[in-house]
Amino acid sequence: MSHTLEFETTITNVDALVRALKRMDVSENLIEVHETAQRLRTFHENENKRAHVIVRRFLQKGNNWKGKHSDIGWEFNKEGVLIGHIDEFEYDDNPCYDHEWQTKLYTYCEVEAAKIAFEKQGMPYVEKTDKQGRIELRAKFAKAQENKNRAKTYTKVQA
Amino acid sequence: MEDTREIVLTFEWDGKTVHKETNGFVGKACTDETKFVEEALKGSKQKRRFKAEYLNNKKHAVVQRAHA
Repeated sequence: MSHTLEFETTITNVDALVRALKRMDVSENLIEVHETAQRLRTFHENENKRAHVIVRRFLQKGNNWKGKHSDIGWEFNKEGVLIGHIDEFEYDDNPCYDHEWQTKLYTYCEVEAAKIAFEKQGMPYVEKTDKQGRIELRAKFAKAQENKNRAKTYTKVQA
Repeated sequence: MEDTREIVLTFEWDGKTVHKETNGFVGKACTDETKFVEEALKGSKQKRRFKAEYLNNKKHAVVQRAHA
């Protein structure tokens, strides 16, 4: 009998995780973010797994056994790092949420976390794929300074 | 004079390795002014994304949380 597996991650940024999930074609309608961890709906009624970020998949694809799916989620631990909860069946038998899927997701998490950092600095960035197929982010400082200067001018005008 | 300072990040598809390149900086500014990116990605520096031994054997995939 399968059970829910827990995976260590280093994700601390919920926004980056949500953006990464969207990049992985997870429907926005299925993604939930909670301040207090909510229960995951799985086939294992004796388990009481909770998560702050949840992809609601339980019974999404029909009522027959083959169409059933468990929710997947990520819960903050005491250190503020997210722990992934994924059903063993989804991890081993359903290619959707296996190791490869998670690795890709966490790569996108890094990309999105960096983008969020650039956005906070007002730095414009360009994303492209390099010759080896890796994601490359290129951010300019000059524009960031221009944006800051504009903000100062605007503040003066407002004053 | 045109400001040519830029940060170039390259992400490996392993979910944990990020290469950082800085261009156009002079001296210590290179690390000081780009530290915010490392802060945003600090998780990848502190510990590995997955523990390989857990992935190699699914029976050990369940990890104990530190506070459990």
